[in-house]
Amino acid sequence: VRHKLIRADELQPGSLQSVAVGGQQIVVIRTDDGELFALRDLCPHRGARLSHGYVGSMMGAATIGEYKLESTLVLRCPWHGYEFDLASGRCPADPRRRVRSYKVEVEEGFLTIDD
Amino acid sequence: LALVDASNAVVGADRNTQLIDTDVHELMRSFDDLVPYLAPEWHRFAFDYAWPTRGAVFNTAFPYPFPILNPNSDSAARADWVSEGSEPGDDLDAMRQHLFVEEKVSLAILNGFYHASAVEGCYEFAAGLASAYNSYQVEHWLEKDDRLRGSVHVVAHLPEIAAREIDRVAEHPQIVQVFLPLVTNRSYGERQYRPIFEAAARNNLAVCMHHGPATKVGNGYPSHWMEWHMLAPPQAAQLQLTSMICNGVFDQFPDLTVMILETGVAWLPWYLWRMDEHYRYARADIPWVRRLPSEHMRDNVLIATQPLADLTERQFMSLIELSASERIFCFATDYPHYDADTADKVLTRRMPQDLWERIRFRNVAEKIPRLRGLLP
Repeated sequence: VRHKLIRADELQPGSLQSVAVGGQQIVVIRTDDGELFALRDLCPHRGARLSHGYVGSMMGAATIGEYKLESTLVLRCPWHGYEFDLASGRCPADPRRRVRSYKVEVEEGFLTIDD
Repeated sequence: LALVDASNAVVGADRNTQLIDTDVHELMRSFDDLVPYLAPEWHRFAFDYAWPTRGAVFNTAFPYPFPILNPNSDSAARADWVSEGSEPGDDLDAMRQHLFVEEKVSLAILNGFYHASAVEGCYEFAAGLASAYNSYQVEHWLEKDDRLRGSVHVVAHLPEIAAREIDRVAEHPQIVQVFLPLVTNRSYGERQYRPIFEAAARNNLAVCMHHGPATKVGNGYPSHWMEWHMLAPPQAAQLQLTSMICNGVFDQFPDLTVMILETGVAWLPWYLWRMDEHYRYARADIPWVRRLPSEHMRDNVLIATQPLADLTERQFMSLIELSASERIFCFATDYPHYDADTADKVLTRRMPQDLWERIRFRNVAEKIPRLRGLLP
């Protein structure tokens, strides 16, 4: 089923918005570079609204003991800081934990997802 | 020297009789035992200088009077393991009788009492003493019984010297691990100690940790021996495992095993849950760690069951089920100490066969590279 979310021009780069879709909340994200992502707006850990969290680069490591920011973007839960990869919805610390992710399309000026 | 796998020559692959004892304390009779192995450059300190702990078989101060069960010995030994004219642990024939005959142990791993890494000063001399102790251990124990396996004692403060000593002693095929005391004033995961783990890994050795005089609690030594003995060993084990996991030791050396002795068993579920919980939300603190801490614990850590204390077998099995720790526990007596466990009492035939085997020998044989030949 295709769902219409919001008008594409309502979501500025570097922002996110929670949208009600058929009884569920979806957080739709436009990155600084304009890329679009959507995740279910519900942390699988304790049920926080992920849309109250923030998007940032995932911290990686060049080698043991050396931090290096990666290009992967994660949404951090506002309650405990669990990270979720915007594209896959997986928690990098424990990939078995994931939040449902959706591919976002722009159709006739609206952001849409398929569910 | 090529590594000779002596393990198959000793114990058959009989799964019903193999019993590896991971915590056996051999003891020097006196400091004189070390003298023949002490390099001449250390004789100045050992004999010409005033040296308050000369003659000690421990080499650091320990403040507590501690329980003994036989008035004729100063050792915290099980009373029926005390014999006249010797201190428990210093007599190979007595050890053979007690462990290999009475306790039906098939292979015993020695870790001594000589905690060289517990010293706080004069590190080069301590490294010389550790080296002498290693040579003494090889000649007086390992060479005399092929059912014994040994440990390399090192001074962790000097990691490069420690690594050279590991390379030297590891040439003996009965050496299976590096010994580090569970100290609480430094964290072995920190990078300066990495040459020790690198040397262990390149020689196919595990690393073994046991508490001693340098094991303390958060505020140092508590008032009484009981407080110390109850808290210090498991707290120190948690400190060192957390440090090693968070600093990426097991990401760097995926085949390295650390064996923790004499800390009890029941802290493990709490530890696994709390570590994983923290990693899930604070992974970015330690991004070089690529797996859940509990996965490193299951693949890289052994924890001896002694002292199993008053857990019933059913409680112990529930604990294992709760924490999916079938591959973590291994058997130990803690010979010759009074709180030793006896295999027949703690690992009865009511236990499922697979788990019984795992704790008696299989987990150790899977994780300590030089003991893999013991796998049926």
